[in-house]
Amino acid sequence: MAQTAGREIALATDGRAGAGRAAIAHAARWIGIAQLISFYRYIAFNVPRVITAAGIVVLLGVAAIQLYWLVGGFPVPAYPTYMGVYFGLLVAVTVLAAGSMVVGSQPKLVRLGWMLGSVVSVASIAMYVASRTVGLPGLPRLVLWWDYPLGTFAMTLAAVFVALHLSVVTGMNVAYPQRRDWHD
Amino acid sequence: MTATDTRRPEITVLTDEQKSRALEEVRRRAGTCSSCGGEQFIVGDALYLGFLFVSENLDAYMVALTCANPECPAPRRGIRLPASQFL
Amino acid sequence: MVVLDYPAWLRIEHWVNVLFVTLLIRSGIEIVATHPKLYRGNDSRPGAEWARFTRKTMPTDKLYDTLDEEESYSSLVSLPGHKNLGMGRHWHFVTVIGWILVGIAYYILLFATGQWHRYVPYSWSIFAEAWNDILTYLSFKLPPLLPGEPLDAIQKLTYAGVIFLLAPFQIFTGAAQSPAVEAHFPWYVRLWGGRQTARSLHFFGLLGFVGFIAVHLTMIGLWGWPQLNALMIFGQARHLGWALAASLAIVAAIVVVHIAATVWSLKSPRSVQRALGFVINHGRLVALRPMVSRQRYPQSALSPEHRVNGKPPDSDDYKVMAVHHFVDWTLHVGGLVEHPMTLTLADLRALGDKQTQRVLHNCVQGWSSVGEWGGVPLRQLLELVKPLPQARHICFLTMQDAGRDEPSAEGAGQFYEVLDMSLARHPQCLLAYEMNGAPLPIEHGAPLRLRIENQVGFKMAKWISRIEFISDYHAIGQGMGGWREDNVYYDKDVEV
Repeated sequence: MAQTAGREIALATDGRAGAGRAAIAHAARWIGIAQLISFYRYIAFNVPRVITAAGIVVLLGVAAIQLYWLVGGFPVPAYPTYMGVYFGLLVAVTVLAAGSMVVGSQPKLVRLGWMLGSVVSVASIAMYVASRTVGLPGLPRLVLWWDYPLGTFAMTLAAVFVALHLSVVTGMNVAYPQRRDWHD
Repeated sequence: MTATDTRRPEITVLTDEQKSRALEEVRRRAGTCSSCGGEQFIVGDALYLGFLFVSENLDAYMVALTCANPECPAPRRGIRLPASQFL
Repeated sequence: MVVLDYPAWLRIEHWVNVLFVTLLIRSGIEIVATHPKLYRGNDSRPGAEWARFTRKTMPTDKLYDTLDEEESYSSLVSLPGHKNLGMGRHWHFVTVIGWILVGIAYYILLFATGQWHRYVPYSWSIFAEAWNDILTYLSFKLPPLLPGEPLDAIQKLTYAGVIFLLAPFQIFTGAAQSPAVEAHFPWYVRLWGGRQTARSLHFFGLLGFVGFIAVHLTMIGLWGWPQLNALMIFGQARHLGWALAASLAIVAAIVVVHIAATVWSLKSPRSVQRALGFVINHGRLVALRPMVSRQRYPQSALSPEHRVNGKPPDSDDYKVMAVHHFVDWTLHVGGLVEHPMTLTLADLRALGDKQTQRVLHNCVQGWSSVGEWGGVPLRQLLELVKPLPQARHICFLTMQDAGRDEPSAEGAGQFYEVLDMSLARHPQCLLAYEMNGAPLPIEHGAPLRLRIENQVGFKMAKWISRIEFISDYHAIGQGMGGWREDNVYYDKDVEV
């Protein structure tokens, strides 16, 4: 198919410009540009339980860190009330999301769980970055305080979850209870 | 060695009715033995070709024919038939 | 205490290693491309793969083979790219020979000069320090170096892991994919959890190296590229500009080698096959040829499905023979023998007691399965026809016409393969007319195929019609020792 396309370009145009374009098309085909751009579509895994387990572990990791902050591990001990509500909400929603990801009999609920997990993950990253950059009300001390391993780790976990979810959405991975229909 | 030892897994064993339909088709096409010119055949098993062979239509079978002429030097022959004509 | 600096041998080995590892990665991806699916255990049952790197889907109503499943990858990621397994194998094997030699020299020099102190931990406290280092990196800071050493604790452990664990792991999982090794030491395949698990683990090793390279380059960037780069060029952090120029020149030279290898392989594969094959074959014949198959897999290990590489002869003669249970098929055995013979299938069955063997089949493409084969040992035929002293090879001619039967194959003409006489007397070298207790199926080579269990699958000619004993194979086909050798540039001897 690609060869035919190249020949058509060569036939449809005359002179040096046409030859040049044909040469570029030939080179692009030879290098495999189209394949490279869409390389992720060449990668597909069939390990739904591993993906779901990894997603849950990562999500519960995020929840555990938020819980630790809620019960007194936060580096600023006297944090404003809204932060307590935020931590509590995050823990609850994260655990809820992780729980619904294993209800195999309800695929819609599973999808909702993954979506919810991504939403809280993105929210946790956004709050963390906001607290270190523009600052949050009542927490000026956190601005530019990047020197905090647990925070970086929590962001990394949240980012890993979003990446996992993206891989499921784009079809690179499937999550429980989905299975690949690979007959060949 | 028994007969079942050499029976191929791909082979379809034909019923008498299927064999007579295949034979009718041989007669309709005026099939003759390319070795001795004989016109009488005994129908044997069938081999489904559609799956295994690149060039074959999906409904193609090879039906075994044995030339009934006892003098025939190469009696084992075959005819390619679509499933609808004999199965 | 030895000074943990950057001696010349260490610097040279570093850059040679860059060349070899990148060649191994690209040629390895070429090999993955030929069967872009990964499995567990010993089987490669269609649909059982845990990963696939292809967009192709195969028909269910027509026999497809693993040549149809092959992917064509870009030359940017694979060496040489564009569906050239023969070339990919040559580059992978010749590079691995060089890589192992460099690795051995590296180990010897490390321990002879005392430089092993830079990688080998000798206090449990290093784990606590490594944990602290991880926390420091997570704080977006750089941890302290170990006193008197060029690395921090986590770096030291990582290098030790790559040099003393990951590199040998790749060599051992690679060896577990050699049919000769598998045939002679079946326990070794079990050790890795099966042939396909070994292949999957080898793939994880590839990812490990790619990950290491990415983190290594990031670390160099964080710690100060110009200084560290100068250490790896001059051994001291001086002349930073010159060091940068020199390292760029080295990287450029490595890129040129990659481009040259790619272009050479795509433009003149025959000369690559001859030149690299010359090196590889010597190593292979010395190290792997003595490994004789002694496999006895249990009944329970039989694979539920056995893939195929190559399609049955698409001729009316063959189909008519098949529907008559191959009664009219004959095997001609001739050439340099005292007693040329023509045998029917019944003659072959009557030759003596049937030998059966349950063995692991390795396709050159990387898939595998366990099958039970029944037939006549080739050595029994040798006793009947009595090869003349000048007979050095056996040529198996088949009923397959690759151009007619195999649209996915490059090349045309009658399929044949040449086997060395030394392999013919192996106890599990078999002319098989049965598979899994039933007559050999058509797609697996009915009525007769060869089994030689310490070689990869393409050597085991299917749909055999003629066996010739010969003194030299160079006048047959294109003279390389088989249809695959002629047309897709594989090696004639394939113990790996």
